[in-house]
Amino acid sequence: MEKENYSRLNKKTLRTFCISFSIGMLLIAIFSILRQMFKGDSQINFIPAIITGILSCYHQIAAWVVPDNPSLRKPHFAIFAMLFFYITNAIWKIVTLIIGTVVFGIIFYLIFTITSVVLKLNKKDHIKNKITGWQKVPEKINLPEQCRKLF
Amino acid sequence: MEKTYILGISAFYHDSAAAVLCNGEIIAAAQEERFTRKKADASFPIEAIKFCLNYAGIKISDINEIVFYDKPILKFDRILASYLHTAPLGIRSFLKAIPLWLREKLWIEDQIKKDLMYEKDILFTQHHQSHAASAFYPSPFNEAAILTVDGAGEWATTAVSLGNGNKLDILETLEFPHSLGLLYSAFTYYCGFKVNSGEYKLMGLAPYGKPIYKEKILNNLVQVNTDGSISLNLTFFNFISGLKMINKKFCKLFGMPPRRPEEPLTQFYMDIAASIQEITNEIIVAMAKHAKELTGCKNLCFAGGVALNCSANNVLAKSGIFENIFIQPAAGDAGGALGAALYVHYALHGNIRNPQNNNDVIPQLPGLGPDFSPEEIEKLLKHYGLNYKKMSDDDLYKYCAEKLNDQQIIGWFQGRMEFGPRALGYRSIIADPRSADMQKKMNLKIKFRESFRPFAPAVMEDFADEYFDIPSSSKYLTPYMLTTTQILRKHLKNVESFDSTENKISLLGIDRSTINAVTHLNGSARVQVVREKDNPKFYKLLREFYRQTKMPMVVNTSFNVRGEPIVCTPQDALYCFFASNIDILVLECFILEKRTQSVKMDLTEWKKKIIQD
Ligand SMILES: [Fe+2]
Repeated sequence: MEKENYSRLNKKTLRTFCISFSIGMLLIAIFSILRQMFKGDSQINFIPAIITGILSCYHQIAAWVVPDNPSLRKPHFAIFAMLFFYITNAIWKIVTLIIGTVVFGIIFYLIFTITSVVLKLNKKDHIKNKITGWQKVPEKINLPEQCRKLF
Repeated sequence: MEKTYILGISAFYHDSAAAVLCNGEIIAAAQEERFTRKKADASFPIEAIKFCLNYAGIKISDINEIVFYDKPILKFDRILASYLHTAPLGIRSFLKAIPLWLREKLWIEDQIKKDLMYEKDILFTQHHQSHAASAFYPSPFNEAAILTVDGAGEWATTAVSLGNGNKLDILETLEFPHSLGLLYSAFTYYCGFKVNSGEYKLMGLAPYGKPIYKEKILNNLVQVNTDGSISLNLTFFNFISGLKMINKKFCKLFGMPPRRPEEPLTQFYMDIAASIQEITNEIIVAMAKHAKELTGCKNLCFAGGVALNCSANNVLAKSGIFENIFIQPAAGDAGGALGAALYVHYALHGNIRNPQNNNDVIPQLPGLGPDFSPEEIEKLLKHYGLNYKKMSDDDLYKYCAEKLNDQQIIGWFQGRMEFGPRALGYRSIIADPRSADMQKKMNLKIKFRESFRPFAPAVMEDFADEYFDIPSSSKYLTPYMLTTTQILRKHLKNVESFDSTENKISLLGIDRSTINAVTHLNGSARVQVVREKDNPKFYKLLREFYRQTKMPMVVNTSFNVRGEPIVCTPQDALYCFFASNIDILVLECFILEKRTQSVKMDLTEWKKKIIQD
């Protein structure tokens, strides 16, 4: 299964992850705003969460809806995903403190799963046994310069 | 000429490690577990890195390049895809894994830079590239086929590569979840041993059983194709996103639940072990054949966790597919640190490689860890007020040989610590191999481990062929204890009982050969051939023991107790000496006898770190 853009990285999977993460973030932000409005006791710094959520949602969905838009494809996607992870990582720490990993995890997992079903990603070729037997490795993979890249 | 330093790092899966090269020469390499004293420690190998820098006499800013042994984002992709596949069933494992990934594993580049205060770029080799490089570049071959087999790297679980000069190309891969390593680990779990560290116990158990479940496994669990590729029947396994390796259907197939860790080992599990071992042997041979067809090479380099399966290595060597086989002793993920660094030096920078194509094993291997001066050791002994003697080398060999002959057990601490899981005469516990109950005594009283576990012999090179049937293709394996060999028939006793006895474990303690303590039940032994130029002190000890007893070998097992990493420092050796029933401790030129010590050592802290595996 040699593809032209073979890089072993299934960008769709990562994209799903990002989208669901963004939606999760938005939900949490909304939840915390509501909570603060009604109870006034939320500790979440929700403004960065909303901004990241909206930004990344926009970017991911745009990339998904208009896949041929060159400015939204790799390597931008990768850089953005890294940046996005970096910011959300910081937020993640705050979130886990307040809401707890488990609650967020379950919400996130559900969204992740639903998103994947909506995007019909649940048919990962590798794991669905479509990719078995010896796979030829494209020459590109063996370029020593590849080790300067994260993937 | 200006010196170029490359630091290789492996971490976050199991057994993290660091290695440093200077102009391509391996200066130092060590596993993190040896410093933190936490077995198979997978955390960021900060202590190992500090040691490597110290040993090379450099600061972090002197390092030209740091290279990590796999590509975290590709691995993350695999993990996400796995969860997608099994959703919503994998939620428990998901909740455990994802926070760890988001907190730590995805940010390895930042962590390296932050923890080490390093400013230059970090490089990332692929997991199987690192494995392949760790075997090929230190090998004595200019051209070789490279087979790498493990649990899983990023997506690849097995790879066939070609090494030529300083070039290394991956040709073909098998991809997750179809993995021989994971299949073997699934059975490790089923037989009640710890995944990722108990695999060698399963291998040691196999000779006690009969492979009666082989057909069942081949018909249901794994399809083995003639080209050596395999595909697992995923309906029996739970590792894709579960917290366990196997599911209920797997247990139902064999009609038995998984064995709990401390439950007695029944014949059933021994037969299971024998069956999966035989299948593993066959798969490895088929994979090697495929590698031969693809590359046409006469030499093979083998790496990845599965390359530590000595029984399979023996079958591979005997198959005659390759004229020569080389395995770097740290073949598992720890060796990935070394491989990643070597890959950058040779493949990326195109440095010329001069493999010594002769019978020499690589001089630097495997003693790549820390060593300690007599002054440091004496200071420590004085600090504790211990009773010790200092001896010249010749007196030391004579004394130790006499004591071995008196059936005493010696902790042998000399030179630089080994890199990789085997103790090869630098951090070893040694004993007389002749007696019939030495195996039991050493298992129960010294190592505190299961009585079925076999011990390995370290034999003088000159006598290896007189005792063991060593195929010529194994000549690069035997110095590192990487293959089992058959003990020659003339040394075996009561051979009939091996085959006829149903309950083979009852044969333990029965006179089986002239070298009982190292004779496995099927008449095999995992031999280490010791050569004077590789390890002169250990060799001279063997020679003296031979002079006194006409026995050219000793039992050689790692210097640790169950659940403890191999000792690293003289302090670790003292703890292990006092915690076990070792009679004599040799620390370089110093001798300590247990019976003459009046000091009691406080072992509370030490005991806390021992994790029962
Ligand atoms: Fe590996």
